[in-house]
Amino acid sequence: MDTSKRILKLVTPWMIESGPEGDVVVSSRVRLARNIKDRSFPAHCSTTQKKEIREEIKKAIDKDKFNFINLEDISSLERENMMESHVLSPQIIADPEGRGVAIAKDQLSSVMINEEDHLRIQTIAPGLVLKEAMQRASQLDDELEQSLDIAFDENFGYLTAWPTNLGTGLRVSAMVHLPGLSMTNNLPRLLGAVNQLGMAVRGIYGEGTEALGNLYQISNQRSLGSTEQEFAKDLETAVTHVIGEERKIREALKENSKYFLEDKVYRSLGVLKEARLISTGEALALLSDVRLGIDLGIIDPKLKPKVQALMQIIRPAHLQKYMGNTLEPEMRDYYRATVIREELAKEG
Amino acid sequence: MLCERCNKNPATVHLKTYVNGIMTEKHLCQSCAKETGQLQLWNLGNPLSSFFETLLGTMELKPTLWSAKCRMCNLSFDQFRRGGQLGCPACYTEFREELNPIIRRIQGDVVHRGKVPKRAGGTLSIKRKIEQLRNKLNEAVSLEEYEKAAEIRDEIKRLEKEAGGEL
Repeated sequence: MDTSKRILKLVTPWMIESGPEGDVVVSSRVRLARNIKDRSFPAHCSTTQKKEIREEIKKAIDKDKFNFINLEDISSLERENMMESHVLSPQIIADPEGRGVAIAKDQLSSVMINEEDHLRIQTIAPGLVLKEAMQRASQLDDELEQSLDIAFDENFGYLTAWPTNLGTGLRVSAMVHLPGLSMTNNLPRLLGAVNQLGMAVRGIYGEGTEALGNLYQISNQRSLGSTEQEFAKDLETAVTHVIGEERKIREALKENSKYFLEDKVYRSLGVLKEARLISTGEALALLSDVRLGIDLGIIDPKLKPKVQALMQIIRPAHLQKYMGNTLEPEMRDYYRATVIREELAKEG
Repeated sequence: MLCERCNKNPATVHLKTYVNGIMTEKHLCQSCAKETGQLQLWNLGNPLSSFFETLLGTMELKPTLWSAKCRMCNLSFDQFRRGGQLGCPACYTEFREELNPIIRRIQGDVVHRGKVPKRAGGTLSIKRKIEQLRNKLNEAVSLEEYEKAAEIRDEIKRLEKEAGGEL
């Protein structure tokens, strides 16, 4: 029943770990937007200027703790793979020239270089651990500030390319798994309420991406006028409310629709174990059901790390890396089904 | 305020439009705004840049402003209006007055209260501390704790000296 070594090599440890409130919260993330004084923002820089800025930042980064990558030096498959792991954004991989990333060896911190801002400091951790993720991001920010002249204004705070990130440059977010609210059609109502609390709800890869596998990202919308701690506290309040609602629905489903729920979970597991063709969207939806089954005690909890790893492995770039070669889109559904079948068969 | 179309839900979408110099205001709830197509403009192209264009369209701005340029990076205010992104950090100083109402609309505030960087923050940390101490001083005086007040006053003087001529 152990998660196979082949899978472990391709996913980062935080993806298969379960943190606090892990039945609903998959991960917590923090991002700080920073820019260098007297330099144009990346969208207004030439490639040469972007490369100069990248070199300047490279010098400021601790070589013992971080691996530094120029994005044009690696294949598009590698870049997509990093996007699927939430290290890179869809925006940065669209135009890699002159851009870069520094990834901490523990893979829990990273810095995107020349995305929309010169620096995007990012930290991630499993479960609801906003405070810890904030501390790590702020510490990395302090280290970088020692050798970089950061653009800061006494009134506006940290200066960013978009006025929507101005002030703290902070975006704090939680990735939540909401199958109960989703299958009972309670999601629009709840997400509307979260919106009214000043929080944004997005799909799994951030801005403008769709929600797959009942996974949603909840994050702060404003970044100016409160302290970082206050923004994080507000988010935690909103997320805690969502967790409570999701748990209530799950309990009600267990109480009133036990057989319906068991049937749904086992059917999904059955399809995953036997299908010959499966799309990313369908696989994520079925894995979401199985994950719910585990969190409700219907399925053995020992299967959870494997389900979490599969949710990552079946995404297009990860799948191709797992198979060891590039796959034509029409062949991916076949190999995706094969990988899932083989991995779940190892359960015995 | 209730939605003026259905009179049932609270109005969360407030639209100001200028047609031939006449301003009309509409206050709708989310679903009525969607039904009447008022929310569709959010789905065209880059959601943020169209947001800025819409936002700026509702504000009264001097016509001469559009051609004003940032002396550091040469970005014009019109370019900002169309794209939504500033050109460089100095744009915030160059267009400070014009940006203030826009930032207030987006962020609900124009004053940063969060982290201050050690090097780039200048004397802001000290200024904030002095402000806190002044509040404490007033409190001490009103409670007639004069000994404590004197201590706080000395600390303020010391900090003001530390900040130098910048205060």
